[in-house]
Amino acid sequence: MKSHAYKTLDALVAAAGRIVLGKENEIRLALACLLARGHLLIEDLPGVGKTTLAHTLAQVLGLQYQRIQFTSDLLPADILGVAVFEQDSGRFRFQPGPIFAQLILADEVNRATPKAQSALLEAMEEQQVSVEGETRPLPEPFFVIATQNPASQIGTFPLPESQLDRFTMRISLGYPDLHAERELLGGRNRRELLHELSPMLDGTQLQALQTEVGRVHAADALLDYLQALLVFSRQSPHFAHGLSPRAGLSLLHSARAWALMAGRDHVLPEDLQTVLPHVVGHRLQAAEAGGDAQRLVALLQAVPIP
Amino acid sequence: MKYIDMLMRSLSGQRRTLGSFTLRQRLSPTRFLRGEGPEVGPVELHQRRVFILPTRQGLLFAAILLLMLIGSINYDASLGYALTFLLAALSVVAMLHTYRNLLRLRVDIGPAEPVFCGETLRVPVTLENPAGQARFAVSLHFPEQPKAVCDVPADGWVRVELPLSAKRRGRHALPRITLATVFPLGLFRAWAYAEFDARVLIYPRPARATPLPRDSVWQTDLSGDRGQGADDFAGLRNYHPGDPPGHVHWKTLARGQGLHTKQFGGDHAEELWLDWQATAGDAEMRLSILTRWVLEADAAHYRYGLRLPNQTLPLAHEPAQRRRCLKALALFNGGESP
Amino acid sequence: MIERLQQALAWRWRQVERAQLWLLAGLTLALLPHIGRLPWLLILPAALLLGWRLGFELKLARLPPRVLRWLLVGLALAATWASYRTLFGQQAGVALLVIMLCLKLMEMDKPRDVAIVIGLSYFVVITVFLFDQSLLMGGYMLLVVTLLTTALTAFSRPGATLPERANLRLSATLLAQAAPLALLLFVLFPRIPGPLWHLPSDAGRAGTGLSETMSPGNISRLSDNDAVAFRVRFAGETPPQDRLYWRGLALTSFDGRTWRNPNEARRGLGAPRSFDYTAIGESVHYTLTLEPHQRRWLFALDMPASVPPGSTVSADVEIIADNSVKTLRQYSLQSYLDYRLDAGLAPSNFAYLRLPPGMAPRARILAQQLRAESRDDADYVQRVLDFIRQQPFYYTRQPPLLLDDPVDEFLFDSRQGFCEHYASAFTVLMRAAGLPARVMTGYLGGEDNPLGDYFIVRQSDAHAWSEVWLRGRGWVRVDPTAVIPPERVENRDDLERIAPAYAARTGEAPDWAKRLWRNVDYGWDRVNNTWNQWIIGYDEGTQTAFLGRLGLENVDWQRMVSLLFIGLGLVVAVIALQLFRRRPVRRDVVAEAYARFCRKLARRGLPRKPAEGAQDYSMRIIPSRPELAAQIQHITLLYQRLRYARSMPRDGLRHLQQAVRRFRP
Repeated sequence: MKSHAYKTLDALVAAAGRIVLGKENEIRLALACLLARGHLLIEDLPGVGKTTLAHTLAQVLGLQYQRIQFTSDLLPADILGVAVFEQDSGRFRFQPGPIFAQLILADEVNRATPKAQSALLEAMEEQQVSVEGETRPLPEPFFVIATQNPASQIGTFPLPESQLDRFTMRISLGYPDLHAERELLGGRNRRELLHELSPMLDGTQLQALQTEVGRVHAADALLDYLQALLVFSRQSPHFAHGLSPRAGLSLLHSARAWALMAGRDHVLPEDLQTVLPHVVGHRLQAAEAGGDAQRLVALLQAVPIP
Repeated sequence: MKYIDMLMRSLSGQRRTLGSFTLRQRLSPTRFLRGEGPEVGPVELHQRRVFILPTRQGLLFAAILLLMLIGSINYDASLGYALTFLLAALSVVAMLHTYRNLLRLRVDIGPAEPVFCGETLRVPVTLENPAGQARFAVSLHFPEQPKAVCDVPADGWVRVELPLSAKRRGRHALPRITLATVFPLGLFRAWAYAEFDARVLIYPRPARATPLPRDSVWQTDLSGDRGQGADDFAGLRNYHPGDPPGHVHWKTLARGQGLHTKQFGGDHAEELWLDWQATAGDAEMRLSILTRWVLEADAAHYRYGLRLPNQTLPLAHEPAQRRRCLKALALFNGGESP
Repeated sequence: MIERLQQALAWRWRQVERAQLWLLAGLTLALLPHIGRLPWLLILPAALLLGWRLGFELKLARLPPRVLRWLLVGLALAATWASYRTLFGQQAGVALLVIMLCLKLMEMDKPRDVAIVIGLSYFVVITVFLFDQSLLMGGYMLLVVTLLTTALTAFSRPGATLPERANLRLSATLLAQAAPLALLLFVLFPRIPGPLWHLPSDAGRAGTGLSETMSPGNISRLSDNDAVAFRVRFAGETPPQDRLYWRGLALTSFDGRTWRNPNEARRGLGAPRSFDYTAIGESVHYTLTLEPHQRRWLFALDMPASVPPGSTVSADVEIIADNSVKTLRQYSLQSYLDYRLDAGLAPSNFAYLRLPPGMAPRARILAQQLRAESRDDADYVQRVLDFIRQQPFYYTRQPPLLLDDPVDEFLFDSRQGFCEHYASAFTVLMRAAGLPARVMTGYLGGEDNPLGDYFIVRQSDAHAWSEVWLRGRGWVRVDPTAVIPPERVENRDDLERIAPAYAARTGEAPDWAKRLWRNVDYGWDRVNNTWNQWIIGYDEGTQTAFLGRLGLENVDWQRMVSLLFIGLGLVVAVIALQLFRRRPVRRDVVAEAYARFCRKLARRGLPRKPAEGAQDYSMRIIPSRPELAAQIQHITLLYQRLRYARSMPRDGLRHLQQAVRRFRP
């Protein structure tokens, strides 16, 4: 029973895949994250195509796109907007910041001060912006792709754990494989291609898809499995602290989105397993100082399916 | 009858049902005394690992029961018989309860934070109870170490921190944990061993306050240094990403003059080599001194490196540097034990 | 001020370790029944020590230092010695145990001390049973044992913050689980006839019921003790009430005031002499359950044909047990209501004729006179009875005291008395006329318990009568009390007592309240009787009989022990199964079918990993078994749809089960 949604999504992935070469899985994860109404964190070196991915997604989905380059002197007002005094009317007028777009690329968030970071994260969390006592809603849908450069530790403010939890998924792109790299080198300019790409959805269609994700069935047996994962993380002494209820919800929503993209109206344990490393990887902390979160993910992946 | 069999076997330390043991291993009394050898957790305390014997109180109780029986026979007191038998039956039932109180618990351990020799390691241990009834007064301990006692709720788990005094520097295998219980009547003691394939790191004992080796190995980075007086305010400079927020001069920012960072004399500019050669005494003494130096250098926010006869750790200052250096000192020359 | 004190106490009360309170409560309750039994010299210090410990727990007092403790031990020994003149023996032993146990409270801090105190507290319970094994005491002691067990559970769970009710529930559960095992042990444990060593001479209290002496005239009031003396179950028909003379003790020597049983000194001398005993008519079979009376004699229906095991018979046909009856004693006997005893031989000594010189001169004259008028001895007996019947003799329970010569004063002045007066005077008249005679004491009659098929004989049924030896007829029982006409019996109840036949004849219905009370009384007695029969009186004999009833004839002790072990094994296994049972796993037919599928593949070396989803599994194994691809995919898909999808395919489960059945890798 391949649904209409499945065809649409498949086509979307295929279209995006023509721009971002050899990264179909990452495109799917990013799309799943978006469909699950979450936000995405990409942790990778510069130049591997983070911006391209974000821009491509915005393009194919027909979303307004804004890129905010985070720097150390970035102020919250640079993100959210400022109230400007107008001589003519004698009143303040709100000048919206770049955050008032549907798809935001927050590039190198760890370069900005915690103050600027929290402005972004608050907006992400609340889907609205409070400036000078006035609350302004953000557009629907609203999707943030933040990137972080793991290599440069000096002079940066890595996002604290409490903030990381607000990102539904964290992925990394990695280098393209030989074949993709060759195509990249030999092919046309990505930017040009990007401009040729026509939107395949509009805002309402995307929202309809997001609604459909919520309808994907999660059976009791699946919820049992999900709970087994959560409980394991909470009681195993290898974990500094267990997965939060928010992490559990993120897992479920992502798995639902993943199942929808696979053309199913129900979630399988495999869906959960596929999104698991990306959803929990950045939320886990080993009990041991300097411990490896990857090992924890592996432990979780070994939890038996009930 | 299967359970009787099981009880008997656990009493005698002999068991029949296990495929993975040779007969010789199975009958070996060392299992009774030492357990199964190191394993990867979680360990489930199943029937063949839980042993049970009467406690001293139990033997005393048995002696009193015998006296009561003799009294009942002698005075032909039927209710005396009844009471004696009731109490004897009670002890049998209590034995089953004691055994059950430990049976099928799951034990796992977490990594322990390294400590200095002479301090006490706190090893996190999780007890998970998959059964529908709670476990009470389960005590755990490392050999010759204080006990931790806990209850484990039904279908629940607890985490306890088990103390283990760090006696020798180095990386050591964790000793076997003994889990025991005398609940509910204290007449029987059921116990089980859990030994994990895990290691703990123990740093050398820091020597008593020893001044840092400023004269011999003290170097200064002239480009960054603005004076010898440590921690003295030395002026402002433009903000660089990565400057600690505590050093940002917020007043200038408030005045709209942009971000500035307060500079302190000696700040981030002092570099220090902690050298084996600069110490005296036997190897352990030298390690102790070096350990003390690492702690002081770290506390003073120096950039420091460590030179050992077989290893050199480059200059750095970050939280990981302290850990790296202490680990190198802990493992120096045979700190490793099986 | 008082309020603040209350608050302070309440606060301290909450701080007390609950285990200690359970122990103190249990121990105190265990000691309570001993209060009337132990001298105040020991009871008071024991109470003081208990209070001291409670005060210590409330942080109001400190425990005594070691020197003082030893001093207290010395004092306790001295007090025991002062009370009993010995430190051994049953009474003194119990007293010593109690006081030492209370002293142990003064140095109870280690787990070992606690174990000793609780263990000995259990032992105190058993010492109470040496004196009282009634149903009520048994129930009370079960409560005490529960409290002590609760103390044990509380001590084995130090620092637990759980509510105390949980501890109580736990100990009650443990005891309930122990009950079937205990019952099995009780039934099958071979009963060894005790005692293992000779009981110390002070064992038991002063006796109740009949005494070895009788002094009519000294007592101005007959006690009205309704306590049960013994219970009897007749095997066949119950003989008429007025023939139920329960023979006890013979009183043969008389000093003018007091009748005594002289046999105490003669007992155990040589083999019992033989009797010239002829039984007439049908025998009566019955089982008698005797309440402990701390004396050695046993009772039997006049005249027993044999003696129960562990007893001998005296010259006066008293049944004397080897040991005094300290616990309930049950025996079966056969008696003949009509008999001829020693008809051929005259009594060998003059004890039966001896009267104290100078005593009862008027009675002697009366005897001479009546004897002279009589044809023979039997006629003389009849004339004496007629004298009693015709002269205004009254039966009363409150006769006047007889000061100088009780026999003469009774016969000629007061003429009021109860059975002792009549038996005594009659026997004197017999002896004065040269007829060998003795006073017999025992019980008369008894009441039929309509709620149970047995007779109750109470202490108030105690009776005295005479036996006269007549040539050619031997010893003949004569009950002079029975000849008093009913109108001269003061009290209706007494009439029933002394002459059951009259009461039956007059047959006046008691009012309903009395009836109701009687029924309650009978019901309770029946419960007690059952308790006595099956619990207290459970000995070797009962054990054999009971096992016989269960179809286990001739069980010797070896077989009994093996039965016991088999039974114990079974019961322990049942309890263990109950305790160690794994929780029933939620049954999911879909998962089961799929698990079967996985097992089939596992047997072919392709097991599923626990954390492997069905889809991943199928994709992993299909390359190694491509020929099964279609089947595997079919099953996997069905399983996934059934287990994870919202809507189930029609007949999906059946299809899955079928596919798994047909799947043969």
